[in-house]
Amino acid sequence: MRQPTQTTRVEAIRALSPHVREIVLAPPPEPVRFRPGQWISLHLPVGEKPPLVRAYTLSAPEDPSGRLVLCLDRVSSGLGSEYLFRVRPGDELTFVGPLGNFVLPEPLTQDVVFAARYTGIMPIRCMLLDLQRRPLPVDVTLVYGGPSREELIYHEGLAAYAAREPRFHYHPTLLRPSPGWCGPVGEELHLLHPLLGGRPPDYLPMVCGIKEFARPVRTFFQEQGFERRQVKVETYD
Amino acid sequence: MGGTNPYIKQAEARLPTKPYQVRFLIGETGEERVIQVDPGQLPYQRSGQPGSILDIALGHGIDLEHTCGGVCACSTCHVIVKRGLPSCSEATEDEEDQLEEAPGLTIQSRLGCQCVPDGSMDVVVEIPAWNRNVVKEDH
Ligand SMILES: Cc1cc2nc3c(=O)[nH]c(=O)nc-3n(C[C@H](O)[C@H](O)[C@H](O)COP(=O)(O)OP(=O)(O)OC[C@H]3O[C@@H](n4cnc5c(N)ncnc54)[C@H](O)[C@@H]3O)c2cc1C
Ligand code: FES
Repeated sequence: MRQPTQTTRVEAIRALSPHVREIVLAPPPEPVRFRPGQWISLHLPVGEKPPLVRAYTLSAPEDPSGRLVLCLDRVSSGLGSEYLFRVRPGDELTFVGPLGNFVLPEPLTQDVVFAARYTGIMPIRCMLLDLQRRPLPVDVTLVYGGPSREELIYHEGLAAYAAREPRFHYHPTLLRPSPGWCGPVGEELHLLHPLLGGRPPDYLPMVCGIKEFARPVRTFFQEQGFERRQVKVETYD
Repeated sequence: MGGTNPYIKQAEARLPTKPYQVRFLIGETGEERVIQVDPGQLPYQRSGQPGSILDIALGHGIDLEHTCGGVCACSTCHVIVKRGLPSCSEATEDEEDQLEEAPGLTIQSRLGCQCVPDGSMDVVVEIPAWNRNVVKEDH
């Protein structure tokens, strides 16, 4: 028995940057009960042999309204993402899910170190929004890289959370210098080394983004003493 | 060090240069489909590695589940390569990690989206009926 598809409508669209948009889906007929970090599989009416299947993370936790939020970047010549940059409020989207196991353990008893690049922040942002509902029981560190200041998606919200929650340690970086940015510039690994180099592997590392980013970061954690499988990784490509 | 990034391990897939055959055994229906793969037409579509079992299946209307879109992030495209496995690209660690989540794993199991035959042998692939509805919550 395969998981059933269901169809809902796009309720709202919000541009977060020139290349990133948030899509809010109306509550689907069957409520989607999910854990922060999970994703849905969209069946899009494009390509040589439709449907084109593409995965998108639920970027905000379950809320009583039943709405679902996705957030994606436009991949150049990407069939799926370009289609999703053309959809408008009222259009229908068909999907399967929730799916995936890039989720936090319950209960959370170990410190967590998240590393994300660009839209790889989505599952982590969803987990952090969920964690914000109560004081953090452990220390949570986020190292997060974006291509430019305006493409550092959800930066303001993350910085505000770090300002009020002493156990949340937020380390953003930009891959290139950007006007108005006084923070670190360079790859996420440049921040991970001084932060964690030499620390015993007593925390949970979780990494999300494209493979070019995630592979060297996983290797970094393995060099810190983790087994390959102990590093939770979600890759997008 | 040279100019290559030691961390980037692409699945080194050799694409076929001459036509070969893939026989699909579809567990759910008991149906069999024989596909003649034309190297000149690869990729047949836009999900999975070009020339992969998933590419060939979807390109010929064979319904092989692929919920993550063919990027080695689930295990719903699990197939059993019953013949021709030596002609297929080697599984990466990433593929093996995902495969472990698939039910009914065998030593001939592969992810359809990552397994690319090089065309030197004909291939027989079973799509197990139990591939359906595979969502594991935890590692
Ligand atoms: C579990 C999972 C969750 C995902 N969640 C999100 C999400 O929340 N937001 C989001 O924007 N995307 C997400 N993705 C990626 C998404 O499924 C698509 O792969 C992406 O939108 C590109 O699809 P496309 O058809 O436009 O491009 P394709 O035609 O499939 O082209 C993909 C090519 O573009 C390159 N590429 C560049 N940037 C990206 C990127 N950000 N993602 C994927 N490939 C990229 C890849 O290397 C690949 O070669 C997720 C993927 C997975 C597996
Ligand atoms: S389609 Fe998800 S791993 Fe092959």
